[in-house]
Amino acid sequence: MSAGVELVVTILRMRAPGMSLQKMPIFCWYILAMALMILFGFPPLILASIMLELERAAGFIFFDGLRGGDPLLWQHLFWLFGHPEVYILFLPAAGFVSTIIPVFAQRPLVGYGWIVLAIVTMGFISFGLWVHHMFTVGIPHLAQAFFSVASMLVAVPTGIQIFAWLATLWSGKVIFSLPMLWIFGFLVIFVCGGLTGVMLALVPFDWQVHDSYFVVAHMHYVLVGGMLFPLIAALYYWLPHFSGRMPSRTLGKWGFWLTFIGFNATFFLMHLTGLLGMPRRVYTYEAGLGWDWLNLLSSVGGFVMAVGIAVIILDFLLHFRFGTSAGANPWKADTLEWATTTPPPPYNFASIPRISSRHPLWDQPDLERAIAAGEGLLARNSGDHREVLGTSATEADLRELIRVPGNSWLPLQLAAVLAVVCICLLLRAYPVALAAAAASFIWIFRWTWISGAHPSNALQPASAAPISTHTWSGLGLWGMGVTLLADAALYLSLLFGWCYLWTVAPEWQFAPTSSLTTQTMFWSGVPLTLAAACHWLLTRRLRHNKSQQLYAGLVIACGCGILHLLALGWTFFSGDLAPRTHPHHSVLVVAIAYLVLHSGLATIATGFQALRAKRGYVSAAQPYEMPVLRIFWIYSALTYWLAYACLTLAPQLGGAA
Amino acid sequence: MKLPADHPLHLVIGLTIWSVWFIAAYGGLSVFCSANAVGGNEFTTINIGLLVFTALTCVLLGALAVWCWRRGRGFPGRVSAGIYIAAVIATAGVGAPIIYLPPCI
Repeated sequence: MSAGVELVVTILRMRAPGMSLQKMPIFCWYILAMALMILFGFPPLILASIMLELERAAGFIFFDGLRGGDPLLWQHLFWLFGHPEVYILFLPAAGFVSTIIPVFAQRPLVGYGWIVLAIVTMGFISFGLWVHHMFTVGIPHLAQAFFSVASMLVAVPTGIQIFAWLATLWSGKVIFSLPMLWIFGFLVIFVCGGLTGVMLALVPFDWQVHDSYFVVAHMHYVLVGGMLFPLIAALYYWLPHFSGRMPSRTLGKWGFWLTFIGFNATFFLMHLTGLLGMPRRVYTYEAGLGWDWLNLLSSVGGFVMAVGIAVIILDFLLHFRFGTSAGANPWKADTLEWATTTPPPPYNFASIPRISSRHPLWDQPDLERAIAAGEGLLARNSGDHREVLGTSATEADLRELIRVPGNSWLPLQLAAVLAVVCICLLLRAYPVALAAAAASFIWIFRWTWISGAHPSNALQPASAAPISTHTWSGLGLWGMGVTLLADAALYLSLLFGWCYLWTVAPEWQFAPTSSLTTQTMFWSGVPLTLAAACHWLLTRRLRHNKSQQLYAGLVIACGCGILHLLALGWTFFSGDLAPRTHPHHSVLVVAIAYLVLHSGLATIATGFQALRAKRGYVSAAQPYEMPVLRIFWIYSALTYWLAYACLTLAPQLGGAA
Repeated sequence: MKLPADHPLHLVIGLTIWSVWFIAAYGGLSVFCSANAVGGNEFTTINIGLLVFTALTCVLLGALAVWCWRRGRGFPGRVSAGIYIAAVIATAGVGAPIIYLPPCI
């Protein structure tokens, strides 16, 4: 999740100056879409895992049908993640393909705009397919038809990309180097996997082959063809950047053909075993069912493929010793990463170039020399800091100078404490896990304290752009905004789960008495709203250069937050919630924990910000941190009132209790 | 605040509208079928409601596509118009079974 946030913000706000959206390498579009999909795809799985652990360890009720839960809720939440995950794997691989094909076809990619359209469309529609994994669970035909059509529709953007790749190859002069060989294998295998995917999108066909070897064959054709083959192509393509040496063509070709032949021998035959009725996930079967010889040939294919992979590994290992020197830009590629030596120096680029083309190394032949000679931006470091540039999201105009954190033990220490949390949860050592979770805040806030406008972090003003801590829409604000998108996805998944249990679970019942009254919940929300409004007003005043009473104002906002937490705590503990008896209460407890986590974090962060304002790290001259916390407060207040409306008001309107 | 036709947010607005339509149609259908014991092969009020909703969504997306195509300049405007059209196709395509399938069996 954090990688998803980082990728989105980096791609949108830290491109080289001049690299507008239409000049962005196509690979970045793929990674941007994939990162956004991670933000929306993973939260349902995270929520489902939390709910499952609460049911397993604490006796809550979410998925147990006999006690008012519904096991199909687990399937929905899992596949809400599970199907987009297929595209989260495929999109970077398609990005490799779209990057490598133009280099070896020696011409620009055909249909750049069409491919961007296809990427965005695929990213969205892939979220509307999850029920095609659940066609046999008894969902009404019309609902199945929605997902069946959507599953077929997603083949259209995939087809657009395949035709664009074929057109690029058709109109170029193709060099069949090792990476291109693997791309060829990808095209053949992935098209077959895609076609069986369209077959599986048809409900009657899916019913026939559900849980059979046909599905196993399809999955491997999509994942191995769609992900492994481009991945090996990419490894060969970028290998010179890793080692400075070229792989062996002979070993590479043997590795490819053995893998390609072995893969097809193994998995193509599984289509037939599946159609002959062999179920998946069996380790043995009766003789004479017609599956024996097909499985024997599949096994032989598996050994051939294993030898192929071993040859590739051997090639990788040997090339470090025997590979010829790669030199600069050995494939004559067009993208910026080849504007360095192979392998690149530790600092990567001596200076940051201004970009005026989608194919900088083809259109600006002098670029590599100019970068190395320091003719770009940031050629001279202002100290022992790591500095980068921030640019605008659309046109990549230069916006700010950013100091990247330097070497520190704090992240490693924090990671170690979080590992203790996870291990203790697995071992059911809950008090230790809780203590470690609380302790992790020490490292988090220590790390945060020395970030931003802390004196140890100061930068000399640059002539070209302001320092990021002096700006209002720095990377922190973007990072918080993108993080809240994922946070909202988790919250909406929880509300979906609650709504699903209410309307679909056969044994669902509202708790006989409403222990969390609408009145107590309402009055608990008032100080939260006041805290959010107070922080919003302080930020607004700061925007107008009014920094008087900033410290006092932040203390008041923090105080309102504490009042809210006390009121909500009293409401929670004075109620007679019984999450082990009533699924409605199980959902309520999870929702309240979510709300407390957010308003609690906002309150602590505001107290922390008050201290920083007192020290002068937050001021009208250095406002960077204020808008970051402002949107978090607003989000916390909005989620509270949404929970109030959905979990306390709606059941009453629906006639509960 | 009016969003210019070549603003990059248009790259995601069309399919976000499709997503909202999809959730509302699937969720609305599921809730309706849970609350009402509708059997048989008859064409019901939920079909009519979903069809109207689908048609209105298509009209909205189509209008946005035309607006983006006419007003947008260069890359973001053209691609956004294309994505709005993709959203129209996705909405109409996924919504087409509403015409001939009963809602709750």
